[in-house]
This record gives sequence, structure tokens and C-alpha cells, in this order.
Amino acid sequence: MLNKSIIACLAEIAGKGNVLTDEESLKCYSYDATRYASTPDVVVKPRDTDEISKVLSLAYEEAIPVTPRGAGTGLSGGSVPIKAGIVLSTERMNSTPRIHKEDLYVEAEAGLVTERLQGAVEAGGLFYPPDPASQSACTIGGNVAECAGGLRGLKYGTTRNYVLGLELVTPEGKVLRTGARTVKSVAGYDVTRLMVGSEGTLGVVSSAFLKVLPLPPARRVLSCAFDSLGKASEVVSEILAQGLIPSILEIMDEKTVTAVEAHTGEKLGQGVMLLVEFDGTKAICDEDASKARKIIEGKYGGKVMGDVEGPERETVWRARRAVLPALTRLSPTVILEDVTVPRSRLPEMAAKIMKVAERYALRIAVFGHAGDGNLHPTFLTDKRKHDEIKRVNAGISEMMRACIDLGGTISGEHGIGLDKMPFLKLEIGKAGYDIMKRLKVSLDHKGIMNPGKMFYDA
Amino acid sequence: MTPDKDRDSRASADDRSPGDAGRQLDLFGAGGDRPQYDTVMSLAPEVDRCLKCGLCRAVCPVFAEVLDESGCARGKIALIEGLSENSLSLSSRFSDKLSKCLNCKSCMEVCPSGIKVDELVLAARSEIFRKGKFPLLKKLIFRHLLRRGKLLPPVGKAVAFIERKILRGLPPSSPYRLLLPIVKIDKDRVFPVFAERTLMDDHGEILSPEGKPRMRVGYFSGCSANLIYTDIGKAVISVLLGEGMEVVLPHDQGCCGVPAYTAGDRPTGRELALTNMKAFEKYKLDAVVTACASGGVALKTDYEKILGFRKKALGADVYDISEFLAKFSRLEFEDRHLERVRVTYHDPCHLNRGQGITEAPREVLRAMPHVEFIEMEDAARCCGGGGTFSLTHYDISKEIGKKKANCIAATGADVVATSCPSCMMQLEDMLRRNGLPQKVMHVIQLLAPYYEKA
Repeated sequence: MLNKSIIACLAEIAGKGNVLTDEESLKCYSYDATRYASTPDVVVKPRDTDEISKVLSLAYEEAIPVTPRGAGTGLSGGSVPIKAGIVLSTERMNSTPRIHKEDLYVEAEAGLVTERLQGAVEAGGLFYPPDPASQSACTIGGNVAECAGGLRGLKYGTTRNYVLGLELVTPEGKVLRTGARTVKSVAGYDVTRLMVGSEGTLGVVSSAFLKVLPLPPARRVLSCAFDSLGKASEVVSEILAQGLIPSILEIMDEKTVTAVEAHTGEKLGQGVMLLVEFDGTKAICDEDASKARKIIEGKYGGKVMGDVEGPERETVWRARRAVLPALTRLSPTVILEDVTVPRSRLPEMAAKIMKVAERYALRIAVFGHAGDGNLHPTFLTDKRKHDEIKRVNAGISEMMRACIDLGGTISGEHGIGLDKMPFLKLEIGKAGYDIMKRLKVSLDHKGIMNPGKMFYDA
Repeated sequence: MTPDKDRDSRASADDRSPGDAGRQLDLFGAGGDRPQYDTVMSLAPEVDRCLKCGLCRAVCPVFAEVLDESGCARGKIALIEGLSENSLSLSSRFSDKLSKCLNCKSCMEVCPSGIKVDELVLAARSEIFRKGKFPLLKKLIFRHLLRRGKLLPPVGKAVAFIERKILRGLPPSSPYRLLLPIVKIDKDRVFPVFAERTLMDDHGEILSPEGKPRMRVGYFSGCSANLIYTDIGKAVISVLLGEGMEVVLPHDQGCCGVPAYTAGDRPTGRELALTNMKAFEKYKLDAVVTACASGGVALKTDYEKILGFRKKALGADVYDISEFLAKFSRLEFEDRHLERVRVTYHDPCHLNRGQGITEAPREVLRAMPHVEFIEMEDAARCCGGGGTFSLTHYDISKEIGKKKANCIAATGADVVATSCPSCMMQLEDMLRRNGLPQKVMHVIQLLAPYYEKA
């Protein structure tokens, strides 16, 4: 518990109504979208950078843990205040983004909801590609902190590729601007990149300068069916090998497809499905789509079930968005993983997942962003069945190791947080772990920023 | 019907059982007379299904204004979780947070787990009513004013008198308006005027059409069409008669019970439901029609799901008036050369998400030759009324309503039509408050002139 004078100081900084200490409010800021939860001592909701700076100065002086939180939609426990202290919620910092059309960048406050940013730039003919599944609720600050991805990673990359610069508050409460408002900049260390994906362990992002692109005039999507996960993943490699770069390339295994059909009541296809979208001018979309069609229908025996453009694409993406809801209904507990391998190793990764399911007698549905080699194997289980959960954990461990052996990464877009801590060293090795720890200690030597995350011993 | 022993003992465990009449009529659901979620412990499995994904934050109109996690469904579910784990109690803060829900059901549309948020929130409120801190004023209103159905019309008339003779004379700047906050009414508020004569004063119970009736249709007027917007009631009756229906307007019907059980007072809700069930049960009806969206949800769903009565509580299928017309009317109208109006439509939450009806009212509007229909942006977004929500949380309600008023204004329409008297009250207040000229009408009011004798 924090003493009364600290609470009073916080109230002076952010206003009484924006400092919450009642147990009901604390309960509401104890969780994110994982199964982790921990109650903070206080929730503070600053209105601007200056208030964040004052809160951090105080926390620094008093050595109080600070856990930044956007919308609490993260999938690794990043915003769960595991060491209690202050939850610093940016949800009030959501003013209208400032769009600089000639310079192709936009300035957004940390608490701005991603979808609102996308809508605002699209109204001006611009495009902000990162599209995490929670985009209707999640915030830019959280996206930057976790380096959020989404469906369009293959062609457009993730949040990392759009952050030109940041306004940042250090653990001591100093405010600085990193990066530049230009596409090119080599003025010293790339602090911006260091902050992207740092999960709030190094400081607080108060606003971001984000690159935007011209909105593609046309989009066309093929939905295709295959009789095995192996064939579908070989087609993914083949499409890329032929020099085609779809804007989206999603995969759903048979379990997923069946679940989506049961959930939406709409026929989707059969067996394993690939959803392939091209964007650009209409001519390019048409040309790419017909090339992809040839590959799909060629020796891999795929069947194009749908070929749509314009607003009709919505039916396809509605089905894709229904994946998690549909899987959720299949079992009481759903554990969503985030393994990512070099694209050429996708068939091997898929085979390994199937093997894990068999060996540990588990139900695993597989879907994901096949184009980025990013799969979301989804464990359908029941947290009340302790024996099964043991097998799930063993299965996850084995899958992680296999993923690393294939040259992959334990998390494509969800982050380490609490959830992937056991596997971090496995992937980056002792030397990698040590250098991260040194960065952490030098930037946050009191260890107040999101403590208990990423590293076991920080 | 012999009362079931087991059923009996469970019913009396309630602080007020619905009484013998209900059991004799066998009005209870097949699953027993207890609603699914009546205690916090029984909520645990539903609460457990929440993934905490937070997608409800994107659509919750209350959250958009308060910007606090407790505003959205995920926060409320977490609070209920705390209660069932005994880490939280039924404190006044708990009640206050649970009261900040419009029951608009927007979250349920996007919830990946399909959690019955409405049932959870109402059950928690029921728990608060039974064990926690429930405002005395509300208790008095529910127990005495609403429950004694007969008391509401005379009280309404008294209010009508006061409004007409006293308040109407008050200029907006009058100092007497400062007295309104004493009864917790915002002093600038535009509030509905009670009619001098109720719908039932002016109509008998059985109303016959010309010629042989096509169907025998019960009309559930709800309080507002009986006491305030009597024009809606008259319009429903004349349209139904014009369609060749025999109309039954049971004078024994009363409040639908929504205000009571939505606030947590289920015993009163049950009594009111029983009154209505008995009022309609005695006529052999082919259908029951209502022009009140919330009343429709009550009769179609809540009597069963929330209050534990049988399916088809009134003994006949219930239809919203537009739904009924879309099914049983040809909806062909000759041009009566009425003045042309541009009309936009606001989807009441309890018609759209509550009953899944969005097309029927639009179909009715488009069928009228004098109506030019214009769709508004975010037509399905809650207007912020939420029945008593707009009284208890006017500050939040006003902000939500302002967004709706702006959407209405942006269409350039002359009239905003809707299907819910509660929405109408809110829309009128919000349009006036924001200095906008649009008229608020029920769909059926626009339609009624086509059934007048030429």
C-alpha cells in the first residue's frame, strides 16, 4: 500500500478524479487479455505528457513500480501490475490525431485507439497498415510498446516499420523526443527502435510520430481450400517464391474452418483454407490474383472458393475475424500462442505442431499469418483440468524449442511480458539476455518501469 | 394445476413470491420458476467465460464518455467476478458502477464469447436490491407507484396538471426551475408532458374493425402510450383496425416491469409481469402487438429469461408493430398528397439488438409515399436514454445523446422516426438541448394518416 501523502501528490498532479484507489477500480485495472491478474495500489490517468512526467518523477523518487497501460488488450501480460504500485493508464490521452499529409506522417497521443487513427488518415486518402486484431479497442501507445502486428505484416511490416519518432518520458520523469519527422535519420543511436517493443520497461511513450502511406486504390481477395496443411503451406512458399507479395496471406486449418462455419452459420470452404489479398492499382491486383490462382490450382490441387473485390471482401474478413470467437466456444480455456518461423520453414513448423498435439493428446487449432511465418496455434483446453494443463505446458515448451530450432522466434507480435518469460533466454541466449539486462539497468536503474516483466530478475 | 412442492419452497425463498395466482395459472417456465442467474454464485460460470479481450471497450457508449474500465462490460464482469470471489462487497461504489450500464447490448454484438452481459448486469443489480444498498426513493417508486398499476394514471394526471398549469408557464429562466434538482431532474431538461386523458379513458377493451376480423390482436400499450404519448396508442389502434384486425386493449394491463427489474427489483418485476400475463391470458389472442421496444423485449424475452416465467408469457406471439405490419400488411399505400417529409430512423437498442428487428421499420417508412427516407450514420448507436439511466446519470446520458443528435442533424431530415417511446423522450430532450429543430415521431405516427377515412 502507498501512503496517503503519495496519493495526495498524485491527486495534485492528475486531479482527484483521475487517481483511483477504491478496490472496485483497482480490480478493473488488474488484468489484460491474458489469464494473468494482479491488483495495483493506485490507478493514475494523466491527461498529457507533463502529467506523466510528474507522476514518473514522484514514482522515481519514492521507488514505486509503474505499469503503463493502454486499453489492457495485450496478449502477454504486459500491462498487468505484477509488482503492484501505480498503473499509469493513458486512456484519457486520446485527442484527434494531427495529420501531416505532405510529409506523410501523423502525430498521435498514446491513448488514441488504433482504429480511430486508421479512420482519420483514411478519410484523407492515407493508410496506416498495422492492424492488430484488437484494433477497435487497443491504443497507439500500447501498439508501440508491444510492437503490435496484424494481418498485413507480410507486405507492410509491423508497428516497428511505421514509428518515425516518439515523445518519451524516462523513468526519472524527463521528457524527450526521439527519432525525426523524416524517413531518413541517423542522428546517433536509434532510441526509437529500442523503445518500440520495450513493453513499458524503459519508459513511457506519450505520443508517436507515425509514417503513413497513400491508400491503395484497389484490393482483391482469393479464398482457397486445400486438403492438407502441408499443401497449403507449400503454396504459401511458392507464391512468395514467384515474386508475389500479397498484402494479406492467412491460413486456417480444418479445425478452425469447421469452428468458424459452426459459429457464423456460413459455408466457408473445406479442409484447410488460405486467404490471399492483393492491393494496389486494379490492374496490379488483377494480374497478381490471376498468377496466384495458377499456383493454387496447379500441382497443389487447391480450389479457389471465392474471388472478390471492393466491399464484398468484408464477407471474407468477417469470417477471418470470427476465428477467435469461434474457437473460444469450443472449450472453456483457450491458450493462444504466437510462434513465428522463417517462411520457408512453415511446413515444418505446421508438422511439428501436429506432432505435439498427437504426443500430448491435445486439441490444437492452427491459424495465423502464414505470409509472415507467424502461426497462432491455439490450445483448446480447460484450466480446471490440472492434468491436461500440465500436458499443455509441456506441449508449449516443446513447440517453442522446435520453433527456435527452425530459426524462428517465440513471439511474433504479442511480446514477452509475463507469458513468454520462461522462453526468452532460450531464444536469445545468455549473451543476448545480458545485453538486454544491461540496457534495462542503465535506463531504469531503480527498476521502477513495469518491473517483473520480460526478465525474471528485474 | 397442483403446485409442485419443490417449486413451492424455492419460490417462497424469495423475499416476495409472485403469489398463488401465478402457480394456479401455470405461468412459470418449464425449468422452474427461478431465473437462470439470481445469485452471484450462479453467475460464476458465465463470468468465467470472459476472455478479457476488451473489445467491448470499442462499442460501449458509456465507456466512450467515462473513459474508465468500469464503464465497459469487461470491467463490470471483473467486478462481478470480485463479488463471487468475495474480494469485493456490495458497496455503494459497487452499486454505482453497476448502475452505469444502459442495457443497450452493444457489447454483446462484438463479444467473442457471446457473454450474456445484459443478464449478468441485471442479476448483479438484483443482488444489490436484495442485499445491498438500494436507493429508498427508487424502492418507493417501484413498490408503490409502479406495482399498484392503478395508481400511475391518477399520479400521471396530477403531474399533467402541474406541468400544464404551472411548469408550462415557467419561462426557461424562471427561478422555480431551480427546484427541479430537488427531485433530481436537471433544470434545463425537456421532459415529457402527461396527457390529460389516458388512452384507456378514450377506448374500450374490445375494438372491432369493419367487416369480419382477420385476426384477434391484443395491444400492449405500455405506460408511455397510455399516459404520455397517447397519439402513439391511437395510431396503433387505428392502423390495426384499418388492417381489419380486432383489437383487444385489456384495461387491466400495467407497467411492463422493465424499470423495476432493470434496476434490480425483481419481485416487483414479477408482480407486474403477472398482472400483464393475467390481463392478456384471458382473451384468446392470435397475437399481441406493442409499439414499445423495451416492452417488446420484456414480453418476448425478459419475462422468461430474467423473471423465470414460461416461454410466450402472454399466451400468444408478441410482435413489434412494424414487425407485425411487415408480416401481415401489404404495406401498399395510395398517395394521399400529404406534405413531403424527409425522415431518418433511429434504431432503438431494444428493437435492434433486443429483438433483432432493423428492416421492418425501414420497410414501413419506405412504403409511405410522402416519406423520403435518409439513413443516418450510426443509426444503431444508443441514444443514451436507457429509461431511468437518463435520470440517474444525466451527465453521461447528455453526452451520448449529443452524438446522436449530431448524427440526426447531419442527415438534413425534418423528422427522426423511431420505435421506442423511451428513445423519443431522450431524442426530444437532446435535440432541443442542442438547439436542433427536428421533430421526433414514432414510425406508427407517420403511418396513421394513411388509415384515416378519406
